Amino acid sequence: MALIRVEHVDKSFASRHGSIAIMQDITFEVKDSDFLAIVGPSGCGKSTLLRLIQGLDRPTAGAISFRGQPVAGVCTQMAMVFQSFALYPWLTVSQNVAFGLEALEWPKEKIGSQVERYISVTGLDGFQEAYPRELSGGMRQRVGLARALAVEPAVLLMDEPFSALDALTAESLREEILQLWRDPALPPEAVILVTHNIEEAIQLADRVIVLSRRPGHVLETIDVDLPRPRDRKSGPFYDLTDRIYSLITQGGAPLPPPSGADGRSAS
Amino acid sequence: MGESSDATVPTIFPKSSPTELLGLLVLLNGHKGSEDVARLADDLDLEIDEIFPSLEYAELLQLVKVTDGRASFTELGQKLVAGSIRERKSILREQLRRTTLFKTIVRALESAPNHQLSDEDLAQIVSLTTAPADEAVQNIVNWGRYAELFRYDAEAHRLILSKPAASSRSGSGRTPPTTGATPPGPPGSARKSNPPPPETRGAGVVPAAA
Amino acid sequence: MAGTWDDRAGIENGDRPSSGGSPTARTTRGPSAASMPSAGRSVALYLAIPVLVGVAGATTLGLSFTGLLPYLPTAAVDVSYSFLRMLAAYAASLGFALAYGYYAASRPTGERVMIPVLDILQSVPILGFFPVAIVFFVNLTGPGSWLGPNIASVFLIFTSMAWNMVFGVYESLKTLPSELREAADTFGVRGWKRFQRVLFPATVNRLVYNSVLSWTGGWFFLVEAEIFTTNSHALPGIGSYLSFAASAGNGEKFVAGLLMLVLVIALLDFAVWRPLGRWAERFRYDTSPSGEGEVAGPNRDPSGRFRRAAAYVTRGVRSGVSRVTTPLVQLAAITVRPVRKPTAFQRSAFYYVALGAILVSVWLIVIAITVAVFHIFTGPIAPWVRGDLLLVPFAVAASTARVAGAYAICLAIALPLAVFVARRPRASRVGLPIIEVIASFPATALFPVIIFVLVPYLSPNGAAVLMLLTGMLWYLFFNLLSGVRSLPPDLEEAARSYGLKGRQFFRRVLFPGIFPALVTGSITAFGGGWNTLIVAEYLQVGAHQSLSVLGVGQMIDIGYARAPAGYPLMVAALFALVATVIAINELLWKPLYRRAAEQFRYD
Repeated sequence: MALIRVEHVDKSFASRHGSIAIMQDITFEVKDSDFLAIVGPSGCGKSTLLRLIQGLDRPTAGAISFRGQPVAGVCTQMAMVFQSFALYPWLTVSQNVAFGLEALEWPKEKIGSQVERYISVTGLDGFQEAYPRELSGGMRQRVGLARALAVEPAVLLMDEPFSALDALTAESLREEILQLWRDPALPPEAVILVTHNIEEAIQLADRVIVLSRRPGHVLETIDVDLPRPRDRKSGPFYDLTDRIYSLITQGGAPLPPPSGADGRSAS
Repeated sequence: MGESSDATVPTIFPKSSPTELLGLLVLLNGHKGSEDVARLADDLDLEIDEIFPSLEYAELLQLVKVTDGRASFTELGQKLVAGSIRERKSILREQLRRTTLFKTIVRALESAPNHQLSDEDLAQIVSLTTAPADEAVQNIVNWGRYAELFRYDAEAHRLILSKPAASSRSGSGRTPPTTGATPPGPPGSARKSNPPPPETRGAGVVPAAA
Repeated sequence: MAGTWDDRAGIENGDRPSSGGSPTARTTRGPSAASMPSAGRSVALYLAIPVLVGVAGATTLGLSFTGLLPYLPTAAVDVSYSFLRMLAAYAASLGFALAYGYYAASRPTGERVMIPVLDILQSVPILGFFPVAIVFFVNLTGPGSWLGPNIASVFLIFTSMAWNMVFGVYESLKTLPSELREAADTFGVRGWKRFQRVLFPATVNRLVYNSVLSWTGGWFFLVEAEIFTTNSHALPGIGSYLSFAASAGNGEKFVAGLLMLVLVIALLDFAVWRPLGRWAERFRYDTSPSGEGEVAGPNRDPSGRFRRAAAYVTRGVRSGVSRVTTPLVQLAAITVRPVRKPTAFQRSAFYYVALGAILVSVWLIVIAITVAVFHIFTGPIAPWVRGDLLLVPFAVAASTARVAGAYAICLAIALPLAVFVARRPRASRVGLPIIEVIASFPATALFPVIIFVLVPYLSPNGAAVLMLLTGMLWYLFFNLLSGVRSLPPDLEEAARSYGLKGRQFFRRVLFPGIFPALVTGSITAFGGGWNTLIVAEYLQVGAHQSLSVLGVGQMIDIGYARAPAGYPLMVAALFALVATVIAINELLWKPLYRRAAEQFRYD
């Protein structure tokens, strides 16, 4: 059974000049143990789509369901990792990781051990008492990841999680995400990654949904059947990159700026 | 070459964070463990000097060798990238512990009153007298914290010696002996981690620093 | 204020590290070079207090300490009364700020109405309402009750404390990065937990800084309120204590009172605000994802505190400025609308003539309405009041001229001083804390001395202007200081390399550079001036010494003193003053402010 089903979703925002369509008729499914990436030029509504899926916002038309139930209100069985980390500067690393668990009203002792576990899993040991401002970007995003994983979500939502990081740090975290993903003892049953970096999508995901320029619609869904770890310099990898790139550039009217869509960008 | 890098106290460690260093190793691993440095940088669209600090750090910790502009893993480096996040961390910890810099700092902490040092003390110990001392101090603090060699009170700007083997606070979960074990939860995952690294402690691989 | 802009720009520029530059380097900044002499600085700060006390002692004919001793206990009791009043007002302000700020920030309708209302409230000379408040609360609680004047004074202090705290809460909630709210959403953190874990912490930093300023302003008004009421209602407190001491010619008693006041203020600063400020550092947030430019640990620049607090307040002013659509603005929409740049019309002399004409007609309208309303509700107006009412326009004009004169003097002092201090970082490390302590001391406490010692030498007008000065100078100085400090050094260097000097330098570099700071400083300084008017133009200390000069403050006071026949005068003068303040804010300062924001930005 599909874990998440997105059916004919439209989203538009009201503006002074009438409503602006952000996305149109988006349909796809996320199955158990799916690592799904959504790519598209900036402004195609990828991040909005992620928010619709978790129920932070409602679609203008269409339906989204999670395990067969329509998503109404925020679904706490999903957890989000943010581009800007979204850590609370007044909470320590441990307290940040505990943030979601407290909202779920776990008992205190259980929170403690859960927090320790995910701090350890993400390599944050030694920084428990640190405040976010004392951490480097890479460490901060680890906290963001630990906070999301700690609530043991069924689905991990990642909104451009590496694009605020420098290239080496991003490289390291991408690889660690895969490591955590491989570990069946660790929570998410599915991951949805939103990115504008085509290579990143191919490197990480099993399936890539390619969205067009605004109003975004699904141009194609591409299965990535390459063994992991994936070699960015291999022929098949390159072919896939090329294919998605040309899909995006031809899919919408004007050519998107290269920085936004070309997979070479290291962001 | 690694022999000499450890023999003296490097007063300025390269400006690299643990995550960046790991990123470099992962990158090198993607190139089958050996690659021309320029090409390595190019793979991430970086300038070559943007990966230098991490490369130097990796050399310093004897995870990577650079000869004729080509970087390749040492045995230990190979082992590190094959490991899990926690195994990697414990290898880095052991390697850092061997460097004269961190040995000196830990020794200073041990002999300091309350086992505490201030930022300024640290800058003096590692004889940082020049202007960018702040950055260097924070770099060292960041690594020392990561390796759990000491704790750091950012409000008081003080380093505080961790209890031996950093085990007092963290319980039994993460200290070197257990790092090889599978994480909590069912074993038999897709992980290919294994050789549990008690040898890293004994460390034939790394020439002990003076 | 310009300092704040600058800080922000710094963060935003650094935002989004694309590549290169190791994150370690930028994660945690260690002790800055400035941190070293911080101990020396705080020593200097507390040296400043004895210095201040010493100066006060010298002015009262060099009294011996033993002479003070008998008065210290009573002074302590009176300071305690005052302190309790402050505390009550502060607690009310805190609750009000959180509720009002939270509501205004979370409801769009609240925002549209509540923030403009707040803007009017904060620009109105609160003190003018004090007589009205006393009349109101005394009538409410019954004459002779101690409660009425107390509530009135707490209310007055509240009005001097609350607005800037509300702006603090409102702005910290508005600038809270949206991901931090969203993250709370994704984890289903709602209701009380959301307030406790996310929203309240977000306001703490600003609240603490703004509180420091609120207390400074609070003391000023507290003393003023207590002095004001000494002749009509018993309001035991340090203000009335000082007032009685001065009117009795008792120098020892006066100095003892001053000493106690300084002691309490210094103690609060040392034991409450400084630790609190250090703790509040934890609650700072910035909007950049990488957190660049963050300083690890507490703010190690104690002298930055006051400046930052000042910057916050002026930012509050600014935010009000940029948002407000008051009826008056809409009235004058033709002149103000083109927000981009002031029109040629606005820059012409005719604009200012027109401004004057509008003012005069507003005064006349206000008087006419007041007369009509009182006539209808309370019967014919006493003849002397009718005569005085005709003087109101002249009184407002005289007061405006006085405030403008005091402002000119302030500028002549503050600008060179700011440049001087900013150019000498070393000297300012010692000097600035002293200036800060002096600035946080309520100048109103010295008014009785001014009356006694200086009025015989100065003309009454001179004394009035001097008192106005004390209520205006600091706003201008601290704003200008941060303005001068945030001048990019390369601009100055470039000027020097082109050989720009003296007047040329001032016109081409310094003035444009500090213009925004000058405008906000002027707005706040004028605000302080309007408030000080009420005591500066009419002050009776004891039976013998008094000061009375034609002005709107005097009219309000006379109207109050000759109750109830004088009420129409009090009300008419008050509303004429309010109308004047609002008109000047809307038609003079705001266009100037917009111009500052548009034209003289360097980033």
